[in-house]
Amino acid sequence: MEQLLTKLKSIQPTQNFQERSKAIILLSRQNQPQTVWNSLLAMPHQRITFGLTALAVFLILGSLSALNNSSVSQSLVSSLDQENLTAEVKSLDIQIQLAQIQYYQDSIKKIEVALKEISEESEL
Amino acid sequence: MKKILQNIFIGLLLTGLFFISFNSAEAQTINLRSAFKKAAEKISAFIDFKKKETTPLPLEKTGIKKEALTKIFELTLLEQQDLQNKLRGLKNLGEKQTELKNELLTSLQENENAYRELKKQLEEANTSEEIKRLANDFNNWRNLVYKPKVEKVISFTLVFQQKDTFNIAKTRLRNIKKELPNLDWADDLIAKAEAKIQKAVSLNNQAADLISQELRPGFFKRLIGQNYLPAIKSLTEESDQEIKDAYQIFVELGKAVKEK
Repeated sequence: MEQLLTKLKSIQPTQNFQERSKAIILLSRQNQPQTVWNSLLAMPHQRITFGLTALAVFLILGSLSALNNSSVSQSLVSSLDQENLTAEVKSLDIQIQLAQIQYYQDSIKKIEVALKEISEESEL
Repeated sequence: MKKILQNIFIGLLLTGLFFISFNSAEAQTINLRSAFKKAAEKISAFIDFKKKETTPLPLEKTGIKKEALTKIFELTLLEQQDLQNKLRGLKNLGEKQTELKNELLTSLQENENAYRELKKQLEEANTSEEIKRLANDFNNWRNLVYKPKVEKVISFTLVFQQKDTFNIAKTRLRNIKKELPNLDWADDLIAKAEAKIQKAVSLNNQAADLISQELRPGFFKRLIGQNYLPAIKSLTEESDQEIKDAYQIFVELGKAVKEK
């Protein structure tokens, strides 16, 4: 038994076996922790390009929409605000000017009648 | 007679109240209002005599007539000041229009001689006949000189005051267009408002053409001409309505934007 064990101890693999086993071990996947970056790098390039483009389009459209909404909101505050518009129409005082013209037309007629009354011999 | 005088009295009071109702910020307006009230009070004195059914003494009657004439004279002076202020208040006139404005101011200034003479005669008039003659002369002068000038001045001021309103409306439209980019649905409303403003400008230009015809060089030497005032007033009213319609569109646009 002792002789048998000594004989087994001296057994060596063949040169061909050694080289084949080493190659198999070195080419096998290693059991390392998986990161997002590693996952991304592991993805095919076409998928990465498509994803990034979709993200960029989403961000650009979202920004434009927000910008547009902000512009309309601002316009309501200033140019299209109902109170501002009403106040501005009132400040365009053409109605007042028209009323003043009416005054002068009336005044001319009434003063003429009054002066005729004063200048004529009345029964008063 | 009583009815006529009552109508004059009520009319003057109403016109006085009219001045109370607007533009009270102007001191000139307050003076006019006060003058109206005083003139109306003096004319109402006639009615009081009639109500009492007593015959006033000749001297008393003359005094009342003189006071009424004095108040009408003072009112005319205040109206003249008001017209001068209106002309002087006109801004942004072109060279030709400024020239016309100055001619109108000169023609009003020429009234001063008549006022001085009338004031002197009024102070000296003591008899009923003198008051009557003076009232007759003053009435003739008002019809031949004062009235045509008033019509020209208020036509001119109305037309050129209105031009300022177009600048305000156009600025408003420009700001709205600037602040509402890329809103296709609003284009139609904006185009309608723009057309209204253009129509208003066109109507005002027609009125300006009329006043230019009336105020040809040397117009103040031929005082009796065609009275364009009713036509100018009508065009101005139409133009004013177009501007109001444009602002109504702006309001609708504002509501629509709010709902979107």
